[in-house]
Amino acid sequence: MSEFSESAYRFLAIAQKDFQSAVKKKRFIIFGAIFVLFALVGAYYGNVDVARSIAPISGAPNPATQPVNYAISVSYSYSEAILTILALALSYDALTGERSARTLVQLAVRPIKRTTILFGKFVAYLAAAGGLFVVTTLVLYIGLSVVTRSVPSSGDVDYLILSMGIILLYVMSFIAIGLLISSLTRTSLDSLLGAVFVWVLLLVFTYAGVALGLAAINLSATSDIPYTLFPGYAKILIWINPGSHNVAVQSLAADFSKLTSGLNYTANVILLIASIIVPLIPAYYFFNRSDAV
Amino acid sequence: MNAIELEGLTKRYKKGVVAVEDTSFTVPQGTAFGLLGPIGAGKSSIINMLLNFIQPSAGTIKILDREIPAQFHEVQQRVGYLPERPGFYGNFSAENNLRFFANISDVREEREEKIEKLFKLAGLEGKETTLVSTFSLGDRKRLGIAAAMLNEPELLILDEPSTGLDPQGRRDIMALIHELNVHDVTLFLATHNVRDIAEICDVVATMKAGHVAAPTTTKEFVADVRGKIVELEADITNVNERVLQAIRSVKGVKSIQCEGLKISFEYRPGINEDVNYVITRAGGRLRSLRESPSLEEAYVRRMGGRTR
Repeated sequence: MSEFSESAYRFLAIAQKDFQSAVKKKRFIIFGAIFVLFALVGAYYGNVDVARSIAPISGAPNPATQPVNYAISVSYSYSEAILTILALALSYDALTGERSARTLVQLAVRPIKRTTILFGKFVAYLAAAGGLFVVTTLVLYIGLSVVTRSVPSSGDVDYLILSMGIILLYVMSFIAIGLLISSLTRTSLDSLLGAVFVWVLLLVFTYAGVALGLAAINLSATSDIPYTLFPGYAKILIWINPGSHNVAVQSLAADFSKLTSGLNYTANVILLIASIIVPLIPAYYFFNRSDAV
Repeated sequence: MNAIELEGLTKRYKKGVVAVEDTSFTVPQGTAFGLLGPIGAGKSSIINMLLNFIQPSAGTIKILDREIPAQFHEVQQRVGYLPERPGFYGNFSAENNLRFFANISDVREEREEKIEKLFKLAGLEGKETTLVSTFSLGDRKRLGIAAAMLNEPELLILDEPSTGLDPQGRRDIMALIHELNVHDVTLFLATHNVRDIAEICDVVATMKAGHVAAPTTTKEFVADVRGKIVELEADITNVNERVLQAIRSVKGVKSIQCEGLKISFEYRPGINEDVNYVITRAGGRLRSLRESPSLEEAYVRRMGGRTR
């Protein structure tokens, strides 16, 4: 067997093992159930909006012409924060959990590269959290189509798939953050504290960025925030949070011209991808040190 | 060929703590080598360097003729490791744990047959589908040996294999390890338990505060630790003149004290078996036979009262 197929086989073995472990975890069941509940509630309220024939909102699907996509966009806004918590909850102790269970030593003495272990885990958590999201969204989409008796156009379905891709990138960025936290800490408790700290910090950065930006241009709180007018430091604070680049709702609406967080669609997608790669590089570096075991 | 060659090996941690200092020794292939020392002596640091978990501060390591860490990946498949407390995935069954480790160790051909054999070897038959979280430490160690043997390694590194086990569990594990050495697996056993060394190893090197003494044969080491005179305390149900006469006939007997039946011997290996044999042959019934000092007691005295 070639070196590549050997590596692929080991990678799949790690991914399969971690996927099975992840879906058996209590935290997956708890946060997964909360996610499904929030997604359902969001879809319900989205459908209520459609029934009330509310006016179109900028950057969101038109309730009149894209009723199912609109309901799904509301579902996203209710549930995506929980999805990031789920992604972080699965990955924050990916390595420290193995260390405290003494299985990391068992892995380290075997002919498997640490990169393979790290990326095997990444794919496993993506399959668990992303899989739950994809299944829930597809079931809701079909359910909403039946309930509203509207058949989405092929374009709407394409935009749904695109938006799901964006959400999956968003989930990946939090899995990458979790893996970084796990590679930097020594115990599961440290990892948990680190994960909570980072999650809260990202939120604080966003609010601080908005507050500082508004203060700099002498504006009070507004629903339509003029990000483009913000000074650089305020923008950076906002852009650090992968959530500020989440253009899933825009994708559902096929509105690619609207600026999100002061950036165009392509720039947001690039930064979303960067927010996956940036944490993975130091995670790889720290986990690859020989004393990481 | 040597299974392990250490030359001037030194490990200094941050804050100037020296765990291993200028250590050199070789472990010839096929031997059972024991590294004996109290906890904190530096044994685990040597193991961690052998397994490439930490880097030496100075010196060289060769395993099966390959330089460590540079060529570690070339010998990884030929080395097995049993940690002091082997870790497994508790929510998986024992056989699923072995399957997983087989998959990442490139053991795919005849995987199921191999796993079945290892369960048999480790004495875990009937526990294949049991969740590992319910395993005792003894069973975990057995499973650890099975996992370490998946690649059919030429060198097996064992860290405190008997620690934490009850007497029966310890006996079983040591018998299993001995069995592996009989089948030509080189053993490198690090322990603070002198009995493990006496039962398993051919060669022993003692370690204290980062320094490793020159290896000697276990026979020489045991004789040296015990000293020349050993007392045996025999508990015999029917002591009579015939039995005492038989005991006096054993080579090396210095004196017999009838009260409590303490027998002083000039030590030689196998003396316990000889005493047991003559007592039984003379019609005596031996309930127990205890060496005084025992090997552990003698070793503790030698180490100045500290082996842990």
